[in-house]
Amino acid sequence: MEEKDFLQLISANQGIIHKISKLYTNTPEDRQDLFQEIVFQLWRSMDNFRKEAKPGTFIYRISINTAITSFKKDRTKKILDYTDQLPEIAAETGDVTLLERTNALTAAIKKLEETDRAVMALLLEEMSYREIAEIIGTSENNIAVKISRIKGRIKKLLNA
Amino acid sequence: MKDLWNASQTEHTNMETLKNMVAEKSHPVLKKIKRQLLVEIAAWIVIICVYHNAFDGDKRPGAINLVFVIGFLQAIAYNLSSYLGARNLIQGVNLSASIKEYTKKLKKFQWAAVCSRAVLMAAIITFFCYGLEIDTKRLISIAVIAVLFGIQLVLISLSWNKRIKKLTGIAAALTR
Repeated sequence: MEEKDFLQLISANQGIIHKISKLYTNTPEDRQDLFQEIVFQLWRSMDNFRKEAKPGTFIYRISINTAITSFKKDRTKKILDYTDQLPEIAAETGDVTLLERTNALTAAIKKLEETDRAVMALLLEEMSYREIAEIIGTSENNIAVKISRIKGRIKKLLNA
Repeated sequence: MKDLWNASQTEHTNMETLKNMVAEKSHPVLKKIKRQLLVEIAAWIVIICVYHNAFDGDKRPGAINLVFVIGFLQAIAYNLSSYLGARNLIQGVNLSASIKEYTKKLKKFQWAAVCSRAVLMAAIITFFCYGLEIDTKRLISIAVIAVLFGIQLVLISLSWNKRIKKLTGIAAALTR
């Protein structure tokens, strides 16, 4: 793939990379570094991109892989504060903004283990259990069990 | 939750910035590693160039000189190979396979790092101790230096262990 085509592909799908960078870092500086690392790894992996695969799936796989394996200097252990209401409950009461609710969800996902964050992000992108299993490298049954466990944990975190 | 996820705002990075990110020279981590390695390699090359006169290399046998130079050359070779290896994080067709493969690679790098540093230290001690009359005072000094070198080797190994252990845990958790 030519660099120009690659940059267009990344530009069109950069939301994915920004979301993953946000889930795996705690400071804007780290987020920016991880974003760049992911773009760099995507460029180096482009030869392995199979045309039949969806670009979004490929970008998610490389982004999560990079976020987990890259050496991160944890500049702060502090995780973002998040509101203590379930988004659905917050929507009903209408007393919090959309931004606060999305931040609350992001913060709750960041409290999960790194592997569970990956599964949750893929699920929220409306990928099927089969697609998630293929990206993770495990069985659909295993993914179903994981998702059930993660959903329970997220609810607890948002209700805490 | 899916609606909130889709509604979450993300920054926008323009094409020019993306283009710069593809270049290795602007990579934040690689740039730091590269700078550190270049300083270390430059220092070692200077040592190789001046040691013969500065540290009386001409008064020692050729074999001892060779051990000293090989000690530094293999350390330079290791530094370069570790830099090239650090660039590739993606090692497989799915997350689980990739992380397992990457962890295997890190284990090899861990051994290479420890062995390379041990060979370098042994070469330095051999060179400087050759021909010395070993009395008790000198023996104690050499022992202290050897212990300090040993501690450094343990610290190098432990720093690799921490990362390997973390990735091994993640690889196991992915399929659990």
